[in-house]
Amino acid sequence: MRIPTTLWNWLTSIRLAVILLIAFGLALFLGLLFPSMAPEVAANAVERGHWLATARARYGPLTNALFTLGLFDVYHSAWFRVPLVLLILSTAAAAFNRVRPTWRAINLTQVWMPDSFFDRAPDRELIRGGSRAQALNVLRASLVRRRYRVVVEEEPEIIHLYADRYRFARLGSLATHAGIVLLLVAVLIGGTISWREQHLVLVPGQARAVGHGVSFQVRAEGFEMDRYPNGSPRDYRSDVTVLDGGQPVLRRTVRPNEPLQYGGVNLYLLHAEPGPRGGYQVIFSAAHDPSFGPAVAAAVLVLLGLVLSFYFPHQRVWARIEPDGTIRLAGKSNRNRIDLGEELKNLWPSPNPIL
Amino acid sequence: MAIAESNLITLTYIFLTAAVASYSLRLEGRVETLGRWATWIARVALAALTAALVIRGVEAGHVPFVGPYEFSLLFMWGILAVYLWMERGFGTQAAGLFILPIAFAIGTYAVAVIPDAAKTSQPLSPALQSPWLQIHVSASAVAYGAFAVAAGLGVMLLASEVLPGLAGRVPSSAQIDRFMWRAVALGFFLLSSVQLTGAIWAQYAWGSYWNWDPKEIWALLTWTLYLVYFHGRALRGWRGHRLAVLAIVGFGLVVFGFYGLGQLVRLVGLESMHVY
Repeated sequence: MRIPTTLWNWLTSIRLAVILLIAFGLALFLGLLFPSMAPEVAANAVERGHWLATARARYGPLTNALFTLGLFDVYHSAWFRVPLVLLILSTAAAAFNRVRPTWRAINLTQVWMPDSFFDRAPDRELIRGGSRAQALNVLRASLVRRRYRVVVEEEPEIIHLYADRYRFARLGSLATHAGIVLLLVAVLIGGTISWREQHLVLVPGQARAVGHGVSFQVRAEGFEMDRYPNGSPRDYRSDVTVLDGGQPVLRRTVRPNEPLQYGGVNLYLLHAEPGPRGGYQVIFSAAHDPSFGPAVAAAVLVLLGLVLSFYFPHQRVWARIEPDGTIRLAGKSNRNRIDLGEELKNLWPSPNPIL
Repeated sequence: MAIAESNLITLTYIFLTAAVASYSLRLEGRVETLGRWATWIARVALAALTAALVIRGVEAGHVPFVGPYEFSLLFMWGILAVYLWMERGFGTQAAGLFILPIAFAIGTYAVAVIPDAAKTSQPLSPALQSPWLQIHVSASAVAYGAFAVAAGLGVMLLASEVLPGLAGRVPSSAQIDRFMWRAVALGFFLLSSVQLTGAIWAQYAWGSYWNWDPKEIWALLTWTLYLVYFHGRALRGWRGHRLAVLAIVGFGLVVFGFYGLGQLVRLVGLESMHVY
């Protein structure tokens, strides 16, 4: 029972998060120090041999050791994968761990606070003057104007007031962490189910299959290019027809930044070149990656969470109004205490409307 | 390059130099002289730079967001804009002396180091003709500016700890730490947006939202370092000079990502579509 608890506490600790982030950063850096072997090269023994022969010119006798250690493909090796997977686990565990405390903090409305709290709260203010009723009205109006939610409990002697704002923004941190986990999972799944055809050669007027089990065919109708006065390309494009079951179903102009999208497959225009038997041919690449949408959605969740956590701190204010109208204020913020201290100073209108 | 534009760049440079001088007089406490005008001089520099960028954009027919010269100008713009915007909340002008020299250094690089031939505006290649160019590059300029402000504040925090003479002239370590957090938070949110818009653009331009390009990897590395900053802030003993060092190192990564990564890519023999 104790070992799992210890393990869980360690996995969800910020200290581990910092260690894993540093390890992850070092692994990212490591991958930039060595040239990387493309997966299609690694899969083919002959090409791999050629690649390593080229690398040998630079790394000499170290080449084989570097290859065995995975340093020519760091991002698919344990150097990178181990911190990444641990980071996903630790982020997910930490986020899960925070769900109940966060929800409790959002719903906690503790109006009555003991005397000692007002002596020791991180931020305190003392305001004097007026009757109890006046003091309550002015304070309440000021808080409501600042979008605080105000709860009041009156006792014969003392009035207790609790106010808070942006409590739901506490969900921001959860959204960010959940978004990161979803994003990384989407990227990892995308890596296994997506495919990419780097070099799809289309001879104008001739339909050809895209491959990868795709049912339809594509046909380039031509290729055009405009140039700027200085000769550099301004625009190039190719009209492409999609044929499904032998029938044309779609015709689009494909440009850089404007791929053709059909049936979950994107077709990207790269360039045109002379054909082997005269004429010319148009080079495209094709890709299928269903993880794009979910990855973007997860990233938007991360950004939304960041805005909430950075710009909407959950701020809580307690007030105790004494029989003589003296107000004791105390505040707590889940971020940037100093800002709340300023806020408490400004809560009471100036000049003092009671005195 | 148009005469009006180059005159405005020269004007920016002169006013930026004057701003650095007047912020230093300000820190000396000599407010009766040029020091009084520090913020206004910096604002004139920003206005001149904005006008230069607008003229350059109008004459080229596209946003001036392409290549090292234009991005250096934007970088300088980001530092000035973020600093002047945040200065009002600082309640002090002390930070100017630590932040504006960064803009000055980048301005010097843009004006004096980049050869004149590389300063002429180029027509937009088909690959860059995308609405994502505007969002992606403008967010990165402001993000980099915010990280520069954080690094300058980090230097101020470290300086105030080692130079007793600064005590009383600069805010307390706790206050600087809070300002630094604000700058890092702004930069981090924008850097995240830069990566998202870059990924979406890459999906439409290259066919994949993540391509293991050195530029993408470097941006992720920078992003990871700032994650260490945020998590370290919650650990005992990290506030103060350790976070200041992280903010400075983080900005070092930002600068290297733009100015040094190309060298690394060539040295190691990596392939990149996004290193200039």
